[in-house]
Amino acid sequence: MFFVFLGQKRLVSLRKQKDIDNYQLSHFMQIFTSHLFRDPLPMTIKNPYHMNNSLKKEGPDQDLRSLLKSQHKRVYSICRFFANNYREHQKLFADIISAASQSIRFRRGNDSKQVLLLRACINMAALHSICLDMQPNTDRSIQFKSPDYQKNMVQFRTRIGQISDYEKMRLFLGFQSTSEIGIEDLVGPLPSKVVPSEGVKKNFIPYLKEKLVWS
Amino acid sequence: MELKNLQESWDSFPEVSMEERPVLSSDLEQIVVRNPLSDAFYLKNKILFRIIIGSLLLLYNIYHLRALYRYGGPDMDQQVLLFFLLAYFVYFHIRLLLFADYPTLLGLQLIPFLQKIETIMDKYIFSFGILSVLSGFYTLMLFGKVFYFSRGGSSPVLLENGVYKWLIIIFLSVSFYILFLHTLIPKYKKLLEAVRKYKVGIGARPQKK
Repeated sequence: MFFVFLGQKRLVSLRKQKDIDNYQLSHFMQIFTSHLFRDPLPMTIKNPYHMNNSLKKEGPDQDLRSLLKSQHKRVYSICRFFANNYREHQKLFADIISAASQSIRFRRGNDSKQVLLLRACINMAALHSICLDMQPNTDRSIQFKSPDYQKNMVQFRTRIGQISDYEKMRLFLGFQSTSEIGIEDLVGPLPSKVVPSEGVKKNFIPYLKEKLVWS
Repeated sequence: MELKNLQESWDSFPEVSMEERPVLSSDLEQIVVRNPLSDAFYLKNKILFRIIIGSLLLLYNIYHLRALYRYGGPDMDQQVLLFFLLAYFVYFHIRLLLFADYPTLLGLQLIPFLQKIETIMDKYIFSFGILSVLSGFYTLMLFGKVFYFSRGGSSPVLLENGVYKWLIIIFLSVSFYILFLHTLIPKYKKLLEAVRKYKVGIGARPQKK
């Protein structure tokens, strides 16, 4: 409550000043206090930024919103592989858009926005698969309202058969015709299937290293 | 040949009908970015909460230790151990939070992403062990206070005896761990197993279902 009080007090003092042009700060205070305490005061706050980073101080190098608008069909495409009905499709789409937006905003290193978008697609699709696997009784039949879309989905799924998610990701990438981005850029090195030989005890130092160094 | 057929099938795919299209291109502007990770995968708030509580308890513990050092008291050893436990608890969670680095987590490649989620889950499950030991300590202290006030200012002999006191702490810690093991931990263990299984199966050949 102390922080809410401080936040509100700060807002009031800002409003008292005639030259209230610090739009971002006031919105930040509102969003900060509401997020911290799950909106304890009856405030109807809208996020002024949405997915748009054009209001950032340092200025946009490329508008995130424009990128996602131009690339949103790719997101639909991965949903074809992993979503079985409208509800899943809707949730996966929104999750991927959020993930891509987040990872592009906070990106470090030299990864391009295209790569980050595709990684968000693949990572969220993987999480979607994991969540589905955890619910064994879920209905996995394809159910879309549009007859054309339903027919094509059934045909397409029948053609690809029961392939692994890795194969689905490779197909997705192949259909997107992104020659400059390889599957290794998105998936990374596959885990090796080395079976540890029994009876060989680990030495103390590697054991300690394994416990202390998180990777 | 099969790939060619698939490509043809893919190219002839219709657009999702208007009623089924989740979000139209023009509506993308209106989407408010929310957290894409679901509750079980997103532990940031829980870890932050633990860090805050742990830090407050640590501060109180330091104050208590200072008072014990100046004026003396019977449970100095207990408070010193509690200090180290709390310091480790806070350090462990800060380290976990920094390691998780949630804003950039989704920009990782799939296998490192899954490995990171696996490690976060694993360490979070481990943290219940420290939490149960701390719960043991604080429950004993609570019992001590309750007895102290209910008996009008005299604490029971049982809690003043060093051996019994430590035995009670061990018993309470194990009890709390068993409680966590049957209530909170299974959810995370199930998720951890699912992530591990997925990671192992990601490069597998076509699955027979």
